[in-house]
Amino acid sequence: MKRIQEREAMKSYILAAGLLPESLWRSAFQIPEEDRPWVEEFRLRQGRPMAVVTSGKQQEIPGTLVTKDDLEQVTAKATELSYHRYEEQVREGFITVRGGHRLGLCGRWSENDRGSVLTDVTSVNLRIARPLTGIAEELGAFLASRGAGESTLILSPPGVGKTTLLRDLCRVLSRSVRVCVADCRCELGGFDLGRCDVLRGGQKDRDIELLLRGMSPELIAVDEITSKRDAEAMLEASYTGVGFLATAHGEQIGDLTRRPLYRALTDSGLFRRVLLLSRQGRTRICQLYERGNDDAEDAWCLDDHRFVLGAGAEPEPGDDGASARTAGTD
Amino acid sequence: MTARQHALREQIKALQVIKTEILFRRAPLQEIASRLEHACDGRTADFYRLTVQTALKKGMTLQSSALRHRGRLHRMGLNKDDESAIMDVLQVLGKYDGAAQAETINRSIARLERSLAALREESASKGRLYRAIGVTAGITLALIVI
Repeated sequence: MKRIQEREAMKSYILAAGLLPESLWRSAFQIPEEDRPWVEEFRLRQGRPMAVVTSGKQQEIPGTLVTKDDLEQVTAKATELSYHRYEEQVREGFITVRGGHRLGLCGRWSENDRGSVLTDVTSVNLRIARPLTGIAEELGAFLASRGAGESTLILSPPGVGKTTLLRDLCRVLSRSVRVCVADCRCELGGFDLGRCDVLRGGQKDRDIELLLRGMSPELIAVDEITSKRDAEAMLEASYTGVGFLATAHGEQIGDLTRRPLYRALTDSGLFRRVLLLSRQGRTRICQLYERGNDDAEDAWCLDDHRFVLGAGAEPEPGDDGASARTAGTD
Repeated sequence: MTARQHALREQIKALQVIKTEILFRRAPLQEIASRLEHACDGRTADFYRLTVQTALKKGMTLQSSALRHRGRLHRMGLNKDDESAIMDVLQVLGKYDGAAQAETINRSIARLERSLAALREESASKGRLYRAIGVTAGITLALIVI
């Protein structure tokens, strides 16, 4: 399993590096081969060397220098010379390119009669999407045993692997329940999602309604709850009995009560199960929290199960003696 | 009609199609380039198709790719000023938002239309001159013969 995952990760690396201009592309292959599957991001800033992020750490590649022309070439390749097709996505901060990779852009906003437009791109962040099929096998089976259609929220800081976990959980849970995916940023589809039905490229709130009407889902998967509109649509849909598998930004379980958007979702009882994802070197640790019927703010209880996801180094010894299960490694 | 007049008309047609496809269909440039085959003559369509194809294949900007194929414009009969209007479009094509691209395309279309109008005016005035010369020569020849 580990070898297959590394091979898949290497394929993703090669595809993502293909978006770089020739000189930077060559530098991307100066990185030792064994490290390439673990590269998470290519960061390009005008006038600086290209940097790669591996296991959350940023490292500049000596001898490289990113020019304005390089940034233009990356954007041109990513948009297939058709920036006008990605205007709406750019307004959201990034574009999803072929292969599910995410290209974050920084530059200068300017206004025209059709709204804000990002011009003069000065830095880009190319986040490499990895399928990592199989990492959620055991976690998915465990969740299914406790109610596959029950809502689950995956919580973690950016870049830890929420989307990767969501993708594989969809695949695993689709064996037990009817899972529909509202893939608004086109980051989930295109990979093996098992028996999931995928609606791509729309608006979350509208897609949730459409999926409910047309596909009779038991579980709807959505990536990154960011707006009040999304939360309202989810709450509304939850009254029909459908569950949600969603991701949200947060570092600790307390963030759910601190942020009003998430608080509305947990206080309403929509999410009573949270998977807190954290990073330990190349490994991801997933801790399960459950909420009892108590409405108190500190009602989240750490379950005694935690899961080790992904291939790589073993995690450091647990600090609470909780039982650790390994998924996706062999 | 001169070669340049024909080339200008075809370029204007091509730019109008490109603008419409970008603004209303938000079509990818590669698709627009292949659509041009039905909208304008083969040589004009080929220029855009090859420019887009080379840029995508070699991972270069559209402008750099267009510079490689600039000779085709010259062979169509277009002059430096016409070429510069087309290169202005290729500098922004696929690189900015739809509105910004449409604005540049409109400016270039206006430039090409002005060139075409001037060319028509020039050929009309030349036509009058040649007709006058012909009539005069005819009369002179008739007088000599008589």
